[in-house]
Amino acid sequence: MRFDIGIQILNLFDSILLIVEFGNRCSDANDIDILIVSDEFRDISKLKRKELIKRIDEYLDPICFTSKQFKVFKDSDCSLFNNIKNSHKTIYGDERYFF
Amino acid sequence: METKDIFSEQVTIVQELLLRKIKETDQRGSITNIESRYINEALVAIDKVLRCDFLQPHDRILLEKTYRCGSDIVHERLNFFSNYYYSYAEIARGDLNSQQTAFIKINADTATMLTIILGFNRQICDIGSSTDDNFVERMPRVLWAIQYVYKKSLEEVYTPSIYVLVNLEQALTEYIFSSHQTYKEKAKKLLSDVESLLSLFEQNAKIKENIKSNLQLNLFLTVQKLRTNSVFGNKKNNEQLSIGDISHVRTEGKLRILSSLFYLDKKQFIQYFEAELASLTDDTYRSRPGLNNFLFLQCLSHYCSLDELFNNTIELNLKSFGINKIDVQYNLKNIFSKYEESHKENISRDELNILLGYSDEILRAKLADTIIGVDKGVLEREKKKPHGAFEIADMELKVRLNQESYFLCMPFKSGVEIKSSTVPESVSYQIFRPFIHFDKTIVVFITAKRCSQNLMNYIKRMEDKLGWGIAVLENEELAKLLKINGQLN
Repeated sequence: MRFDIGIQILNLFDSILLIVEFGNRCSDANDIDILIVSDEFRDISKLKRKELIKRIDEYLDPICFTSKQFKVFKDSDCSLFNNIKNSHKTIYGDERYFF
Repeated sequence: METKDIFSEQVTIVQELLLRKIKETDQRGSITNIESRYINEALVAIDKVLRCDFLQPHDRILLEKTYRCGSDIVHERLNFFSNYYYSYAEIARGDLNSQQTAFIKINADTATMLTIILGFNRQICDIGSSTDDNFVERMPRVLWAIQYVYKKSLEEVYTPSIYVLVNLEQALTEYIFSSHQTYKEKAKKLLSDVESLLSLFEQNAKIKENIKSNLQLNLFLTVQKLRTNSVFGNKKNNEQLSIGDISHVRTEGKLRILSSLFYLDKKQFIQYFEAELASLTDDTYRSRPGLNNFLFLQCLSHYCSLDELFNNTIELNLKSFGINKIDVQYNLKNIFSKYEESHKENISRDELNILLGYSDEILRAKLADTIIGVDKGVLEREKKKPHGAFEIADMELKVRLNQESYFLCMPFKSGVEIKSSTVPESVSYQIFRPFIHFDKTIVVFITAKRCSQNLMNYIKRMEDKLGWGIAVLENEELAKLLKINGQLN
């Protein structure tokens, strides 16, 4: 992921705790899969979170969680969480608190 | 009590119940399948209310916001359709209890997908996440499970199996009728598989008899079969419906029968609904608020959408929620360069005509150059942004006011776009729309022509009543702001 994209995401939402890029999970190889954790997402609909990020770069395919939602995701120990845990690259934040 | 009053009151009750459940599950951080079913039934009821064209714009916004909060919470629980994924294992290896639980879990996921599709149709929800991919990818496992029930003649779970299939049929047809394209072909193939399985079940004499004697299931199945037929372009079934006496049926069943009847025969729906209204009202008000309120509201919405008594708009008594009130008018000086000084400018008739001649794109670009405290790159992107289906305002920017961040949403109306002398009240929905998606948002409505008195009064009233932060920059005031910033040329 380009450096300036990370900066634009950080400018867009307050209190971002984590941004990670992870292995491609879609058939479209151009997609950039990212996971963003920010408690500001509480105030924004799911549809709008995604739309605002895609406006920065249409190839971004984000999963947006509040810290509480991330905890539920982590506790579910689902295959996607394990995929992210094993194949991610941290763009921003201290991943030790998350993985 | 008039039907109109019952309708209004039920909408308020359903919104309250839904918001309470959302809060409860959000605080707990988890949601059960039963709660998911509860929320989804409420969402379907709200969808039916939203189909009524007599709602006022602000009520529509409040209901859509309630819908998106409910939908967001059930969508999170989907967990990549894990209930579909494990369904075969749970049904093939489990005892009767775990089979029943598996059916509840499958139906919860299907209902969630249905309400997401309904929300997508209203541009409240999005489809296409990796979770949604699993709706079609993992559904075959559910069909294997139901096939297993048939092959092993598990008679105790025939009826829940039929319900699973009809629910799938409902969600798939809803998806196929929607404008979303990604899963269209897969959905059609799955619908065909569901239909084949249903036909297989219907060939069994015992099941045939079960369906015949269960009016609620029979009508639900008939409605969904008609929808499936229209997907595949098959001939409609014109069989005469014979409902018979339903007065002895318990309220939930009665309401589900009426909901299906609405789609099959509107005349009979009105006749039965009017005959049963008193007993339904009595029973719903006497019982503990919950599922029956959602089903009752669905029927009331159907009835009211047909009845002439709702020719005029009505105002509901809905709750505004999740709003951080802020004085937008006061803060305009923190958003636009030289806003306060601009009041001293004089505007000639010619200058006003220049403003009125701007197209939407030009007006957007000119105003963007007066905004302060926003990154230039972001402003550039926003002013050239193409109009998308999910766009809620022409410009959406992050601003900081009073040490807090807000999304500043600006709907635009150029003089070219508005043909009447003033901006009509009918644009109010567009002005209020950002409040569906953002809690911390402020709206500045930018218009080259003056707002009509009715529109202005409506905006002011909603600011006071609902705590929405809205300001208007119109006509001469807008021209002054552009002029002082060297943009009126």
